Amino acid sequence: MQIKKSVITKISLISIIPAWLLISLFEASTFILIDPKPVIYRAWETASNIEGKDAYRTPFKPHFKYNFLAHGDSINMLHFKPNPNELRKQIFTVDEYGFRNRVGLLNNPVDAVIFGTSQVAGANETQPNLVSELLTDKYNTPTYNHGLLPLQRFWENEWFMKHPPKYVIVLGTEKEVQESSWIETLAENQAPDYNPKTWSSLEEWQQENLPNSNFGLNKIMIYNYDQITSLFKNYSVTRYLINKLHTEILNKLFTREQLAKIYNNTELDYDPSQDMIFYQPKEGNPTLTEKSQQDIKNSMTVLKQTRDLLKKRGITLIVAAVPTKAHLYYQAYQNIPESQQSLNVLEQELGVNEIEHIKFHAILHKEAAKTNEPLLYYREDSHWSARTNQIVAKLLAEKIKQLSQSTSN
Amino acid sequence: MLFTDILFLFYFFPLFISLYLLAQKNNILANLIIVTFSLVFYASFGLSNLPILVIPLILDFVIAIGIHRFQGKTISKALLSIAVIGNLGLLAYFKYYDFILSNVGMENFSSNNIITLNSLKPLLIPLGISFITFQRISYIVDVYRKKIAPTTNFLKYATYATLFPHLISGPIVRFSQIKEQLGKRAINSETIFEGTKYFVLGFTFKLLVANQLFTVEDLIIQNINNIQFLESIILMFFFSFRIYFDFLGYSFIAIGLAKFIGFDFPQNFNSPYQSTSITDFWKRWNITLSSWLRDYLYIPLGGSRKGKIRTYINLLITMLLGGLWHGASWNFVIWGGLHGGFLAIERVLSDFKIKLTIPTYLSKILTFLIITFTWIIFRFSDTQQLDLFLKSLTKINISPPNEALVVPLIYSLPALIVAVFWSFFLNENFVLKIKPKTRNGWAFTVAFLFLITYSLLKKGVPFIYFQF
Repeated sequence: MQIKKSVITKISLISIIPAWLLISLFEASTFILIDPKPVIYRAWETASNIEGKDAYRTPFKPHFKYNFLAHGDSINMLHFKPNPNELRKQIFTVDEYGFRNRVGLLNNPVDAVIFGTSQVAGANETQPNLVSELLTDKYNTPTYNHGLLPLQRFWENEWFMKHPPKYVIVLGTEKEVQESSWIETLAENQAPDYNPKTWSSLEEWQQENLPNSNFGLNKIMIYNYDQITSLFKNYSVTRYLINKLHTEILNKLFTREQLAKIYNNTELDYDPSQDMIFYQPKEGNPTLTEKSQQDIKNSMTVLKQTRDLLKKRGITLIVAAVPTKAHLYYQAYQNIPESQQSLNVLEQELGVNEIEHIKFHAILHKEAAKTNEPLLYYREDSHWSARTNQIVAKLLAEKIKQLSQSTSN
Repeated sequence: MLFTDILFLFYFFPLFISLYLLAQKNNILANLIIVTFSLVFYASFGLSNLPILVIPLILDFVIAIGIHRFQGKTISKALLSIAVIGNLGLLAYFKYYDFILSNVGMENFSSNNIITLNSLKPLLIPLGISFITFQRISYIVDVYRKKIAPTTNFLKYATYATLFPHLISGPIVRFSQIKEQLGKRAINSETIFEGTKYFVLGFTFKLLVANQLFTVEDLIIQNINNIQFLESIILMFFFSFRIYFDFLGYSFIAIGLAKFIGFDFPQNFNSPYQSTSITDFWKRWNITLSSWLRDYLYIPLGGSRKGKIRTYINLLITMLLGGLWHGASWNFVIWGGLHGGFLAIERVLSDFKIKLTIPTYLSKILTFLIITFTWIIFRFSDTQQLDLFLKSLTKINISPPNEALVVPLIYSLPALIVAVFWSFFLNENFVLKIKPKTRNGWAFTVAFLFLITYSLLKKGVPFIYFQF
């Protein structure tokens, strides 16, 4: 009995070692157990061309196929568990050049090429719902989605030099157009913690911890070694499962409103009355300010130059500025007088400067007021919804039709 | 790779300990595993750092043998000078080069000078260089002072000089302290329990106390431009406890990891916040560093052997350099200078037999308040932030803290209670009282699994002393 007791004592004293090894073995199975495809932060990031680097930038991996569920990009930050209706099917392919288009679209010249940020590239949507696809299929206007890459890259592209489209569409939120951010596409990225296989936290980690890791003698070795060590740091099946469990428990214990208060985030605002998350609502403020006036002025200079440059190749520039989510749904911005809304001034200026454009302000305000229709922006995503894509595509098709008629006349 | 990183917890250490336990009976193989894994550990902070660790290590090994061989001859002294200057030169180059240039108005020199090694110089300071340098110097000087005979076994020396549990942030281990263990180490269920105990407690202090206190501190710093009196007070005390538990946590983890493989590292803390004076504090805080400063700086400067005035000056110089050792920034110099000043004042009072009759509890409180205030100078390398902080301290008002602070403050309360209780009513000797019993063994393993799980939910906060 005494011997048995001493054996148990010994086992208890060294029990940390087998426990540690077991949990490590489990962890080492990360690469087998976790698939990159289940519900993740941004489905499109898995299409990244260089895993762990530039995860959100085009060109993606050519011929990449994705067919799974995804949820909005703001939901992780507040530890909300996505409701079933917030899980959206995402199906997309990447073409042979690394953009989200059907393979072979550029076998023939296209009518239009569309530019913009993640809204255009399709961070939020399944392929058939993208504006480029709707224009191609529904409105018989073959349109190439060049989303995320700067216009300059299109301008330098040999194929497009030989086969210029009739139209270049610049599509974004009012703020993106005002600030001309579509020229240098800056898709802000948020390190995901919901699924480790999105990798995108790696770059952030490197910037924080190894800002100068490329110095020195053996550049390639250093870079690769650092990348491998960083990769392991951010890639964990245990973390994935724990995070899921943590989210489950939190959502059982607290309401979304309470969670939003607990995980108070300066970049986010949760409106419980609409069950809606606003990402950087201050950035989406539609109020006309000194800064937005200056931005519009600068934007006009850039857009006029672009219009004139494109004209040299016979291309017409069309600008489409969609009201921001904060503009349409944020309570604090609901009673701003029309004259003090910057989108009105932007649309006015586009007209004055003879830049072809779509007037979304009035139309989308009317659409947003329809309570029986789906929302124009997803509740838990910073991006606009499939319904907005439908409206945008319809108005763009009408504009293109009108322009082509006036050209033929 | 931090001790709390996934890479360390799930891959590096389990692989290391598995191989090590398999090879432990063969000392050469066991040492070889330690050196290999230590190099990989160091390289995880950037492969380019590796030569900075390895090349001086080889040179020091050879020089130490040379010093011993030519003992008593001029060449021995010359070799000592070369080794000390070489090691300090390396430290100065990586840590103080830009600081010195910017303070002599030559900040542009470094980027334009084509003759210097600037193009090869990493912009990041190699991690742990301060601790590594001090450990190397202690080895060389101890050989010169005939306190130890240098080892002629390169593997043993490499094991001593690279041992990963304390490579980056100490404790600074002298060769004499682990000389025997480099040749033979005993590992049994009790040593593993000892390792578990220190590791789990260290992990607890880091994750559940220091990191939790950091959330409040970080929020206040983010809003430093609008800092109010009450927030300044909170910041001061939270940082004071944070730095203690961050470093204590690290030291315990290092001691625990070392115990797993049969090494006994010296304790680095002995209830520093229960000190009755600043002199007492420096006998209890970062003990391995303060004793290094005493043995290799204060005493060679003359210590107390050259008269009273010289003693005070030596104290001041030692602490100024001790401050500068922490980083190339004036706040560290000021912090060191303040401590040096307090030490000198206490020495004056002692020399002139001026005894202030205040109760012990009051002297403890007073010492803690002085230490806590000086930590704030240590905390702010940005003088503008320090200025904002000091100004807010002068504007006494009791307006409630920022609303965003309320929830983190409530969450930090358990951490604060633990910190206060441990700091003032317990001490590090308490750990020695936890005996290897069945119940304790299971309890620590369960705690370990909980901590690992918890660590995955939180974003890691680097150890404060990793930067030094």
